Amino acid sequence: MIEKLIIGCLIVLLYFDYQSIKQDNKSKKIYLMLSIPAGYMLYSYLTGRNLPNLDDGFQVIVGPMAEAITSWLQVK
Amino acid sequence: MHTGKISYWQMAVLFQVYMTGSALINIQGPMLAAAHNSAWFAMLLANLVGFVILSLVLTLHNEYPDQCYVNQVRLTVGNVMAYIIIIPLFVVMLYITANIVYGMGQYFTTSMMRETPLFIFHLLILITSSLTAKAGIEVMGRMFHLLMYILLFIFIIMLILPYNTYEITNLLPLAPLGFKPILHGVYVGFGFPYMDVLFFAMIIYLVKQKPGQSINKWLYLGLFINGIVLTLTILCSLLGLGPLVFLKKFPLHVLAQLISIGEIVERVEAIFGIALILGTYMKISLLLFILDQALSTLFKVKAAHFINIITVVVFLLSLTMYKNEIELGESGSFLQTPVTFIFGFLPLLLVVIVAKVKRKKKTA
Repeated sequence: MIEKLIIGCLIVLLYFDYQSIKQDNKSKKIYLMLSIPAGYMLYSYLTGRNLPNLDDGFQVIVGPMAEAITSWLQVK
Repeated sequence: MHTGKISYWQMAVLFQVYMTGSALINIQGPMLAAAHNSAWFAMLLANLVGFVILSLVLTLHNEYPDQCYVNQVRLTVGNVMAYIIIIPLFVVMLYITANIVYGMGQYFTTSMMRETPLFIFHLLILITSSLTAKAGIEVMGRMFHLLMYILLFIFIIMLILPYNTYEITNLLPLAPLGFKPILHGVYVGFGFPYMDVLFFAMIIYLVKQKPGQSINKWLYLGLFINGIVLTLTILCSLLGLGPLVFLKKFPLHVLAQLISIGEIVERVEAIFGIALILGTYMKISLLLFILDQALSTLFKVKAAHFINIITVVVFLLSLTMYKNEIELGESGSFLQTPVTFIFGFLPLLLVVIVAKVKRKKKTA
């Protein structure tokens, strides 16, 4: 319960923060751009953290390379 | 772009707390797991790699002393390339900041406050850090000065007090499995903490330039001290704990538990917790400031507009990326190095080469 209350407070804080920069058109756009991943992660958090995240993304991009290097470096 | 200016000494202090801050607690576990008994030697070698990264960063700084890394990239390889290089780097910085936040929360939930939910630690440290980052570089320069002394004092006490547990034979054999584990240690150290030097390039220009003086020697000295401090923590963990050290995620915490002087000074690991909070708080404050700096300079908008939203993104990233400490451990020692190498080091190398070629053409 307290978790959801804190998240609610954060959303209110972000709303007021957004209002304070709203007059700057470019800043407003960047702010909204950053809100998209924030919204996605919030949704992910509230639904059990099962959605793909940044770590999974990096895993796809550099995972095979990392695996090859690590297995070479590890002494069995 | 942020505009506040700080002195050489303050910049050196910020660099020191930035490099040593969270690494003081988080590096021993992964380094010992990778390099075993020779972890302290691997740490020294990783520090040498840090010098290479710092020299690349300072080459660019000397070329464009009044610009942050984003503008240095823009002036060297053009606007479009700046977007291509900086946006992935920004994402990597978010990822690393979230990892550091998670690392701190994990330390508390696994060793000191097991019943407290993880998000409480994340939230509190991020709120404090974002307020500090909003206050600006001058405030951080002044405030972190004192905090650095406290941090170093705790560090010295933590290493001196368990002297009666130190056994020199615990260091032997030095490299029982050959050179590969040492290389593995260097590989881990490259990703964390030494690639973080690159992110600091976003704020080096905020130093007040004095004729005939340079920030370079201060930063090199800072990096050298950082290497010595981190090596000492690993060395003392090995000396005090012996083979037990490889089973522990936070060896310094266990070392602090061993402190017992005349039954008066005992169980001082809470002080170690204070050092952990201080170090992490300073590092995250600087990283949030750097993230805001990167974004505002890239999109040419007023600075300090995005600290709150960046803080929330980091908070949510730290809550959603990992389900447990094992996932963080895997990601930290397995993924962080290739990620920072591809999205941080390679572009930096490219920009430095282009800047050098451009300069040669200009002088020819």
